[in-house]
Amino acid sequence: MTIISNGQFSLEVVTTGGELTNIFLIILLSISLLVADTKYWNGYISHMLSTFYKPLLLVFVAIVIFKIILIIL
Amino acid sequence: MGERILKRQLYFPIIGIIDAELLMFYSQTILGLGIHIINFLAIIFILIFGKLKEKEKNFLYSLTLVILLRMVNISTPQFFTNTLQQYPLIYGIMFVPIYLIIKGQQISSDELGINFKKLYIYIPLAILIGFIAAISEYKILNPIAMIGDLRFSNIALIILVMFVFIATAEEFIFRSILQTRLEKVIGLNYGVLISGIIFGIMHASYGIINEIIFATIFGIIMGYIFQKVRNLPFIISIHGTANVILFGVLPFYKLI
Repeated sequence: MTIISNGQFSLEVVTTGGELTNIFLIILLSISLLVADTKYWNGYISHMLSTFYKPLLLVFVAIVIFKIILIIL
Repeated sequence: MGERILKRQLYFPIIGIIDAELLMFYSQTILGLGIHIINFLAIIFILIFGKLKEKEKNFLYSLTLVILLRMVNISTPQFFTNTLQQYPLIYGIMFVPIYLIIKGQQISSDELGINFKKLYIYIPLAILIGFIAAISEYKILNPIAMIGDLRFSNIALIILVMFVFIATAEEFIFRSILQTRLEKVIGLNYGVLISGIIFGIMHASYGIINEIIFATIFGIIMGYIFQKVRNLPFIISIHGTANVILFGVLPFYKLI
C-alpha cells in the first residue's frame, strides 16, 4: 500500500496543484516575515516555518526545472 | 499516559485532513488540496498564537507531515510516465521535513525505533506478514504491475523504491513520528487508533472504500506492532515486502 497511488492525477490537476502550492509557499514566507517582528517569534516557530517551506521550495525548483525541460524539448 | 480527551485545537485539524481526503475520494482533488491548505494555515496559526502544551504543539507540528506529503504528491511535476520512477522524487522531498522535525523535536533514536536487534527473527516474520497483507490487498485493489517484467533489474528497482523511499518515509511519518507524538498526548491505545485512522484515510485517493478500511486496519496493526517492539526496520520490512509483492509480483501471477 502506498499513499500515492499509481498514476492518479491528470496533468491539469498537477498544474493547478502546483499553482496552489506555490501560492501557499508565498503566504508561508509572508507569515514568516510578519511574525519575525512580533513577540511570538522564537526558535521553535522559526524552525517550524522553515520545516514547512523547505520541501515546498524544492517542489518549486522541480516545477521550474520541469518548465525549462519543456521549453528545451 | 496522556490525557484521554483531545482539545478542540487538536482534533479539528484531524477532521480537516479527513474532509480533504474524502473530497479526493470523490475525485475532487483540487478542492481537497484547498481544504488541506486552509487546514495547514489553521495549524500554523494555532502553533504560533495558541496556548498549547509542548507535547500538543509537537503533535500538531508532526501532523503537518501528512498534509505536506499530499501537497508534494499533487504539485510535483510528472517527470516520469512510470509512477515507480516518480516515487523517489516525491518521497525524497519528504525526507527533508522528516529530518527537520526529528531534529527540531529532538526525537531520540529509541523513540523512532531505530535499532537492529533480533532482525534474524523479525525479517522472516516481516516477509510472512507482508506476504499475507499483499494477498489481502491484491483482492481489493487488483493493481497493474509497476514493472514491465520480472527481470532482475526491474525487481531490484521496485525493491529499492518500495523499501528505501515509500516504506521508510511512510513508517517514519505515521509510526515513528505521528504515533509517538499522539501517544504522549492521548495515551498508547488512542495513539495507535488515531494514527491508524489517519493512515487509512490517506489512502482515499484510490477511490475504493475497501482500500480505506484495509489500510486503516493495516495501520492499526502496524501501530500496535511498533508500539510493542519499537523496531522501525521490522515494520519497514513488512510494509516494503507487502508493496513489492503487491505491485511487482502478484500482477504477473493472477492465481488469486
